[in-house]
Formats: sequence, C-alpha cells, structure tokens
Amino acid sequence: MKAIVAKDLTKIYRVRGRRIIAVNKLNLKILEGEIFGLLGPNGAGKTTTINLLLGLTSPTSGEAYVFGFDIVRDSVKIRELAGLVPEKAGFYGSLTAYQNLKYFAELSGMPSSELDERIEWALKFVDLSGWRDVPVKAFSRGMVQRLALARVLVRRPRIIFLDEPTAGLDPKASRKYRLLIKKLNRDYGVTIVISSHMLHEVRRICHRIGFMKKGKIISTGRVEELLKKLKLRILIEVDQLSSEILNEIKSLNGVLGIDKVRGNKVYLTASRDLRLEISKILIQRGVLIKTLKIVHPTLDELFMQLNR
Amino acid sequence: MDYFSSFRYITIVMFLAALISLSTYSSISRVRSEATSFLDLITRATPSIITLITYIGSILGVSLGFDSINRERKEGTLLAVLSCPVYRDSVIVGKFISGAISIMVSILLANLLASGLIIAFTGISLSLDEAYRFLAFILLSFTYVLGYYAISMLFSVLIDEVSVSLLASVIFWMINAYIVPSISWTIAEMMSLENIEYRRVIRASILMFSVNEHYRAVSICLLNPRAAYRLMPITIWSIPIKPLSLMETLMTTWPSIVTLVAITIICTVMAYIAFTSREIF
Repeated sequence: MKAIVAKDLTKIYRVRGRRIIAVNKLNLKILEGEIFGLLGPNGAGKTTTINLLLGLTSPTSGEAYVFGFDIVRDSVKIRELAGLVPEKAGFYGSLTAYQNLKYFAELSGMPSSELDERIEWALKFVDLSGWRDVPVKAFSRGMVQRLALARVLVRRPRIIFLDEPTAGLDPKASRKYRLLIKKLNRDYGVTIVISSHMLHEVRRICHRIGFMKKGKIISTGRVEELLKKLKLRILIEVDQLSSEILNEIKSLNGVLGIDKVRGNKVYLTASRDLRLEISKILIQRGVLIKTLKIVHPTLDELFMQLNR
Repeated sequence: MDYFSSFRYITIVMFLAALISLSTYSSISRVRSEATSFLDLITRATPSIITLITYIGSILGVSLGFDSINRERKEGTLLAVLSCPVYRDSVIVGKFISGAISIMVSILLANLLASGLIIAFTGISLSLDEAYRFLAFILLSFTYVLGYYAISMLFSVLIDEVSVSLLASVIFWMINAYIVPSISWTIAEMMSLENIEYRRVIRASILMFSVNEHYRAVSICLLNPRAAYRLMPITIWSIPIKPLSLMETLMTTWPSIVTLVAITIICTVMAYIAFTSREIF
C-alpha cells in the first residue's frame, strides 16, 4: 500500500505582496513501511511539504493522500495516524516528561486506561524512563528530541514525519537517534519520512531518498540507483602535464568538462568511460601514468550536482 | 496552559483580594454606623470595589491574554498541539474558555470576599433587590475583564513577538485607564468655556471612548439604586426621591452594557478568524 501519494501539490505563500512558491507541483509516492528521506537545501520546501501532508496548512492546488485520506478533508484523521517530530520540539518546560506526554496523549483523545502503559512504553523505547519525573526544562537537546519521538509513539502512529531530527545533536546523540528510528521501522513497521539536509545521516537509514529543489522533487530512488545516474568522474595523475596534453584530452568525444586541475592531477567529468582513449593519448606523448581511475561519487556530490 | 497554577495569575488575584479586603474592612470601620444597606457599605469603601476591578481586573485580563498564542507559537508547543488530531479552532476556543473560567473565579472570589466581610462584621444582610444588583455587578465585572482578555488575546494572535503584543495590550489599557480621562480634562480646560456645564459635557463626551468609563458608569448605577444614567454623553446623577428598580437601571444603562459585551464579542471573533486563517508557522 502507498502511504503517501501527492499529485501536483502546490503551496504558494503571499508575504508582503510577494508570491513565494514553497511547493511547486510536487509529485511523490511513499510506500508503507519504508524510510523515505526528503533531502534538499534550506528553503527547498521540505518542511512545507510535511506540513501539507499533515494537514497543518492547506495546499494552493493539487492533492495528496496519506493512507488514502485526503489532506484537506480528512486532516484530523491523518493526524490520528501520523505523528510529527518537528525541528524545534516544543514542550512545557515546567512540567515533567510524564506530564507532558500525558497532556498531549489526552489531547489526542487517548483513553485514560491506556495512558500510563503507553507512556511507560514510549519512555522506555527512547531510553528516558529514568527521567520520567524530571521537568523538561532540565533536558538536554538530545533528550528533548527523544522525548518528542516518545510523544508521537504514545499514539502508536502508522507514519512519522521527522523534520531535521538530528539538527544540533552531537554525533553520539545522532547515532542513538538513528538507531531508534531504524528499530521503529524494523520492529513495528512504522513508515518514516525524514526531512534533512544532512546527507550522511539520510544515507545511513533511508531506503529511498527524494531530492527537493525549489519546491519540486527533482529525483527519487534508492541511494545506489541515484549515484549511478551521476556523470563519471575520472582521475588522471601523471608525472608531467602540459597544456597541449590537457587540450587533447578535453577534445575527446564524451568529455563534459575539467573539474579540477591540481598540479599534475586532473579530475574530469565524462559521459562514458574514456580511460582507454586517455591512456592512448598519454602513452603517445610519452607521459608516465601514475593514476587513471574512475572516482566513485558521493552522495554529497550527487546533492551538489542536482542542486546546480 | 494552566492559568490557576501560574505565578502571574495567583499574584494578581491575591493582590486584588488583599486590596478588596483592606478597603472593605476600612469601609466597615469608618461608615458602619451611617451605612444603611449592604450596597451602601460596598460602594463607600476607599478604594471602592469598582475602582479595584476597573484597574486590577483589567490588568488581570491583559496578563492572561497577551501571550496566550504567540508564546506557544514561539516555544513550539503550538505546533505540537496542532499536530495532534485536534481541530484548529478548538485550540483558540479552549484558550478562551479557560481564560474566561479563570477570570470568573477571580471576580467571584473578589466579590464574595467583600460581601463575606461585610456580612460577617456588620450582620447586614442583602435584600432581594440588592442580591440581584450585586449579581448583575458580578456579571458586568466578568464581561469587562473578559473584554480586556479578548483584546489581549487578539493582539497575541496578530503579533508574533510576545513583547510587542504586551506593549500593544498595555497601550490599549493606558488609553482607556488614563489617556482618555486625562485628555478629557485637558480638552475641556482648553475650550476655556465659562460655562462649567459645557465643560462637563465635553469631558463626558470624550469619556465615552473609554471602555473603563462605560464599566464604571454602569457599575455605579447597579450598586446604587439612586443613580441615574445617560449615555450621550456618559452622565450619572443622583435621584433624590424614588430609587430605581434593577430593571429600570438596566433599561437605562443598556447602551454601555451593550458596548462592553460588543467589544468582547467582536475581539473574540476577530481572534478566532485570525487564528484559524493565519499560517501558524
């Protein structure tokens, strides 16, 4: 089953007379049970997309469905099935962790007979059982983020949206958080949508990722599939590099450009594997070849390339 | 989230209760032998309960409302609440109802304290007409303070910064409590009219723009059956012969009562519309 289907979803804000297109005819499909990463630079429209899918803001045009429920007509129903862990998780600082979770659980209409059990389970899941009766204002940022996840888990949602969940967390806290998300997906089958600009984080846990730019999804797929779409980068390192040799290599059919020239090292971008042709040129010129290899692209490079 | 346990609310209510207790007790001590009725004792306190609710009650309304929405938006708890399966309008309605309940409790506490002290120390009991008048006064006081709460909550919805919404609420309060009354004197004096009656009319006309004056005028008439009222301009004078019944008082003071109720309703509706239509993030 598809957890999310969005068709030409658009959101335009009017700010001081200016039209700002935050989401621009977005088309998206996310399967139930997967961890989907929504990647993009700041201002790409990731948070707005999440807000639209949760029914927290109305679309200007287009449609979207979360587990078959319309985001406009059935927004309350969607929020029964979904949870949000925002970038800035807000809690009432003077209340304890337990009191906060109880308040939000009651707000969601949870029966009081189930409250205690679910809260205890959620706190245990995020490893905050020992902080149950401590005011939230004493929590560190990492603990607040975990408590925010617990707040959502109390309701046992089918899908969780995480907006920049590890922003501001140290590496240890980030790792702990990632493990919790993986466990949630693996053991309980919860669909997870993570919005982030931290590529290394997303790569570690997402089954699929989608790149957003200027309100549109420009590419989706598994990480390995996306990396294959990148243009080839070839590293050439020789003992002597002259401008004539460089120009001859540049003129080869398939060379898209020279990325970097550093001393006797050259990185070039190509549409196909040109190592044979390049090696012929270098051998004819009597140049000693130190390195001639394809450099495997990173997700960062994919991101940068798609962002250009 | 919880007004009753907030330091702000407890402080203001305790302050109001303390002042009412002191002024009522001093009234009992000073005028006990002259006072002929319960309402007589209530109105002769210095400062009177009307004055205390006019100033401190309105401060209470402002203090509860000015950050009711924008603080939660800033701290992220508004988003947390709205991401629960709740309708957006239930948030603003819930806030309004909780504020109204808090205000009603404080008004009841203040008035019951004053009446309790009078009955306990003087043995004077209320007649049926006095009881109805006192009840009407309590309801009017509730409406008045609720109006300030509604105005402050409206500022809280429209203005993102808590400090700016507080400033706007305080400015509104000052205009009604001090600036309009001061301007009324100044303008009346500047007219330099020889006729004192004309000066009084000019002043009374300007005072119509003060919410506090509408409340004060109706309160005086409710707590004093011998007070008569006119709206254009707001004028109160004593009737030497037959006191008015409660119905007669209400029939004459209805324009100011409607003004107070209308302000509350209009501001509440505006806050509701603004909150439900505005992007929260």
